[in-house]
Amino acid sequence: MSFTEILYKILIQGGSYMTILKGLWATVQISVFSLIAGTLLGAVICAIRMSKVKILRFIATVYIVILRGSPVLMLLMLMYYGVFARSSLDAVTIAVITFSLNVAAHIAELLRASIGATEHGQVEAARTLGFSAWQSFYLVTLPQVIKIAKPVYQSTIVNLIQWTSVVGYVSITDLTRVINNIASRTMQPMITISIGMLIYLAMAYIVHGIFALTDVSHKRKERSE
Amino acid sequence: MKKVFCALVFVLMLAAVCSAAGKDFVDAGILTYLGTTEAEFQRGLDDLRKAVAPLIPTDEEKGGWAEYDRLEGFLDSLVKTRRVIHFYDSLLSMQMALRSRKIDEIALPEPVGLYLVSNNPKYDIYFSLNMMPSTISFGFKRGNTALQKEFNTAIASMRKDGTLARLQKEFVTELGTSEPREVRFATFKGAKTVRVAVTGDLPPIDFIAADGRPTGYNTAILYEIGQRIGKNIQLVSIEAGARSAALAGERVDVVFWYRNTDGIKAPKQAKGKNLKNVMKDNMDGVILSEPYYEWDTDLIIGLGD
Repeated sequence: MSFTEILYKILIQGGSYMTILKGLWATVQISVFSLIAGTLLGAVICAIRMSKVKILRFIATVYIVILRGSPVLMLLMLMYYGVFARSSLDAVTIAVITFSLNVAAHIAELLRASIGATEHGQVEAARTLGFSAWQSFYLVTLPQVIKIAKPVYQSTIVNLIQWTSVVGYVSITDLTRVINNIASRTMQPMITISIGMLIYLAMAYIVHGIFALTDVSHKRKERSE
Repeated sequence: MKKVFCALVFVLMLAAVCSAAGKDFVDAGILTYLGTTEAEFQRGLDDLRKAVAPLIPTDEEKGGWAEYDRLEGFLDSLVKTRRVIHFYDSLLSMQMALRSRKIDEIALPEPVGLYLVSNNPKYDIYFSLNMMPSTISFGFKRGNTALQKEFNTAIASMRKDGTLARLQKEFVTELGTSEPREVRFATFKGAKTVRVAVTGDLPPIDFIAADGRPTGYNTAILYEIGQRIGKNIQLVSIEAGARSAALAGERVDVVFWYRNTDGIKAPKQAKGKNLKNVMKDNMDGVILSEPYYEWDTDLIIGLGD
């Protein structure tokens, strides 16, 4: 069998490309929803972690320690086969909840470190000039936090996309599961998995590209100002 | 620094090549037995090897063991060369290990082995082992005896009217390199739904087609069972390693149970353990149906070169 024939069998024959696209869509869906929910939850946890109430700080710290320290596959299986076993939630929703919880812990720490890296004196200066607490955060701290957190946030997104590759364990047919199925069907694991890796790599570079574009537009905006 | 690093890499590579060349055993891959550990399995195999080795050469002792003729090939290969066993959760990871030469050979049920070899010319059958009778059954959560009984009745009737043999012929023995045909499930209005986990990891028995729908021998059997028990069958695609969790968490009602075997009994003359106790693939929380596929030949497959 020639290499072209193998590629045809893997990618085209029997509508294989449609199955790959469906798997890719499942991966993108889970990643995007988890990222949005995880970022919002992460911001809340960060706020709790930095609050002045000791017990709240403790709860947030415990949450971060547990979620960052536990393998995401085990958490996913625990949620799907344990916590939500009797619920009517579908597998994708449970996966989104799980990945959101996990990503939130990482993002909370990322935001806390970024806020810590900004100079507190600037906020004090803003408050002296009559800015409210919210205005000084929104106009002074937040832009700097975004700038500092951006590179690590970008890596977190790429990591999240990779973490979703375990959802086959909870009956979701994502990109990895489709690739595994094709590899088993065609008995060509090396080539099939290489193709799968290239698709994941492309997704990672799309994320890098989006961030690079935002950098370019930001620089243009700065120059025009 | 660069030179030191290159030298170090060279030395490591040389050491790896030398150790591989000098080894006096064969690294063999098999699909994971859920009821035992790799170490226990290895101990059982080594014990059997030690116990059986003195019995092999003489004809008198061969005669004293009724199973010898059937097991001759296996025992010869087992005794002459030590097999170091590696468990793999899926056929896919086992193939990857073979291709990267982490293992030297893999053992597969005959139909799966033939499918592998016919679909990828890089693989070759080294030899076949008429090793031990093994079966594929359906697994249910312990306590779900009502469903187990229904499945058993359906399997028995399929065996009796020749359906099992017919499906086996169509979906396994006469399949060749082509893909199994699509199996469309009938819907019974108002009937209960039985959720069955499929892995797609054991073609052509447990198979997922190019368009992502499960098919193959298992699916055809399930179609027939659904018809006979009057229940809807819902197929849930899942990773092979998550079968037990899916059953325990009641996400599915039925899973395909890959191998159920009694193992090999050592002859009376052989002192020591045998493989009977360590080759279990069943677990405490799982009950099995009557088998719907039986085989006694495993193919030992390696790279063609």
